[in-house]
Amino acid sequence: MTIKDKLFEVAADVFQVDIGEITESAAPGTIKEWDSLKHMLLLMALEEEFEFRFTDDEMTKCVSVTAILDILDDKVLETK
Amino acid sequence: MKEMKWGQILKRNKELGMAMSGRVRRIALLSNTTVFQLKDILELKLRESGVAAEIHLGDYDSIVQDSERFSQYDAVIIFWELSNLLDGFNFKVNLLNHDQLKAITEKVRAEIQLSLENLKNTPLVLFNRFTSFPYDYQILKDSESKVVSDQLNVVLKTMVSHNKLVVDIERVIALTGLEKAIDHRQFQMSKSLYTKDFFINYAEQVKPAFLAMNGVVKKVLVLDCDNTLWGGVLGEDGENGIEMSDLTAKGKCFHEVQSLIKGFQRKGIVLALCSKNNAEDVDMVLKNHPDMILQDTDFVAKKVNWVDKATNLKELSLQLNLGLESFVFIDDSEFEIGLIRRELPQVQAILVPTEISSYPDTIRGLQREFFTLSSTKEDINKTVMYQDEHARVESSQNFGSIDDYLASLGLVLTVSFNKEVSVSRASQLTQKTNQFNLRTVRYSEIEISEFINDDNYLVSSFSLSDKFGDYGITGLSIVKLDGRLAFFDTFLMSCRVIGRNVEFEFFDQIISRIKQMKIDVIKLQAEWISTLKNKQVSKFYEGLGFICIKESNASKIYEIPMDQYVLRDIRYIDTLNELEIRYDDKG
Repeated sequence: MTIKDKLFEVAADVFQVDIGEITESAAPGTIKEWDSLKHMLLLMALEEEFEFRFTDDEMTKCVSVTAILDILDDKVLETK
Repeated sequence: MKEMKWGQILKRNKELGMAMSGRVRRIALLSNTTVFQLKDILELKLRESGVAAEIHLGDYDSIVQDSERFSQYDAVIIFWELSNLLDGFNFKVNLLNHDQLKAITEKVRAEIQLSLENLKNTPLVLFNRFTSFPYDYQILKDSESKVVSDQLNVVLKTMVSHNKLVVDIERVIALTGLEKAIDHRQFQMSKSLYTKDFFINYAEQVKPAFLAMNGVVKKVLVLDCDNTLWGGVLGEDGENGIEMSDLTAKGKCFHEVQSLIKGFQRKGIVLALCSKNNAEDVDMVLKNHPDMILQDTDFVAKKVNWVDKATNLKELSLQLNLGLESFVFIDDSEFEIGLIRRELPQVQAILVPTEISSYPDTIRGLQREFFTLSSTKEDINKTVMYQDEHARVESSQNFGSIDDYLASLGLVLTVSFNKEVSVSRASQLTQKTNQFNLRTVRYSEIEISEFINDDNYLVSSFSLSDKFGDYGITGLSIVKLDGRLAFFDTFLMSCRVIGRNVEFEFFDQIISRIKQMKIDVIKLQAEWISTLKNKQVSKFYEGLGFICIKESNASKIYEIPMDQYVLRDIRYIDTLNELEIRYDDKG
């Protein structure tokens, strides 16, 4: 499973929506379940899933699926 | 649930939520911080146990308003965090002066009272105890936060009732580990203080309250005998071979287990036996064995026979008219536990651990299974004790001298002699008292009875009360009367009553009694024997005017001629003795 697939799966679980609703362009504005609390939960769930920690900077940059994916790609490669 | 990731928790909870049946329990979660993570964790935990829980989140930092909004719910949980008493309290606290701190504490106290008033008819309220744990980085001095937290907790303590519970959140933090329980990063960003691990432990610990609300409560404890109530096999080792004595390594564990179970019985748990043994053999042990803490009469029903245990448990359920789902069954045999788990899955079957030293802890854990929302007499007493202690502390603050304070307490000392003395309590005092104990000689009930029946001994005890409450029997003396000499074999006092000068009044009473007895005593003798814990009384007899006549590292022996002993005659202690009370009763 690629990093992207995993991210989509976690996001679908957290927002409790069908995985088809998660796209690279998805962001808090496009998915109505993506509110501030769910956002926080998503970040915690990703840290847990990929076993790493977002830095303060990275956290503020997590504004869309694409942005998160960029950070994950760097992070997860780093830890491997 | 600890291994479950967020995604799995949310998914599983959603599934269970759709399949829920039974009466829906609406639970509101109120907080002055962000605790929404608890919603799914607690819902899942409760739904897995058959409670159709539905948790609703209150608004951020609106506990008082929300307490009104959610008062009709089945239950309300309150996370009132010290760190956000006012925005940034966790760091601002260091800059606030005494008056400001006092004003904030007062404000929160009033808010707590208002909230609880709003929730007075809510069937279940869980209020987390205030804690400064997350921000205290040293243990040698209390922080300002700790002081505020302690004061608010005093307010909470007096409000506890059978359905208003104060949750010991520090225990949850301890179970999780401080570092793993607190997330300072999330607190900075979103005012969310606790981690997932913390919330999972929290949910597990509060679960019994919701099960009890749903009527899922264990009421019956069914016990096997061999290697469950005692060590060894009665049929093989015989009555003298089985172990449950406090004096052997193995016996100790069973002694403790029996004592814990006796405690359950006193709190209303129904005890029953289910053992493959000869009924007469077990009866003999129950009735006659000196090491048994549990007595024959403690068991409401007994199935001591060779029938299979599933059949026996079913019969017990009919006999007691209590459902099997309220049963807990303990046995040391994997076979029996396996059988019950397969045949009667509604019974909670617990295997005695192979490492017997962990057995008492297993039994202690059952307290959570037996949790009920009704209040026992003990619970009520505990609340009264807290309230008494609170009143006592309050009034100790307004007096110029300690004597003024003691005089204001209205101390009443009731002294009992010989046959009036409670043998069991006297023995217990010799066994348990360490600090204010001059010779620390331990006596059994039989030995105490012998002293009482022997004219050459004077046994005296006292009980103490003050205007705030009754301390019960808390002091004991045993004097050996040997012709012209009176020797203080035992003189002790429970640490609960230290600091009130009652020891002097008690001593006066004993001396007066010896004089009254018209015995030709001309000299008093006493001894202090050093132990690790009784340093505080090493100079007690000097204080009474005794002269040390012999001293070694381990002890000091004292004497004083009878006619040189000066009565203290402490005015602020009212003294009664049992005979006078009886006389008054008749009058």
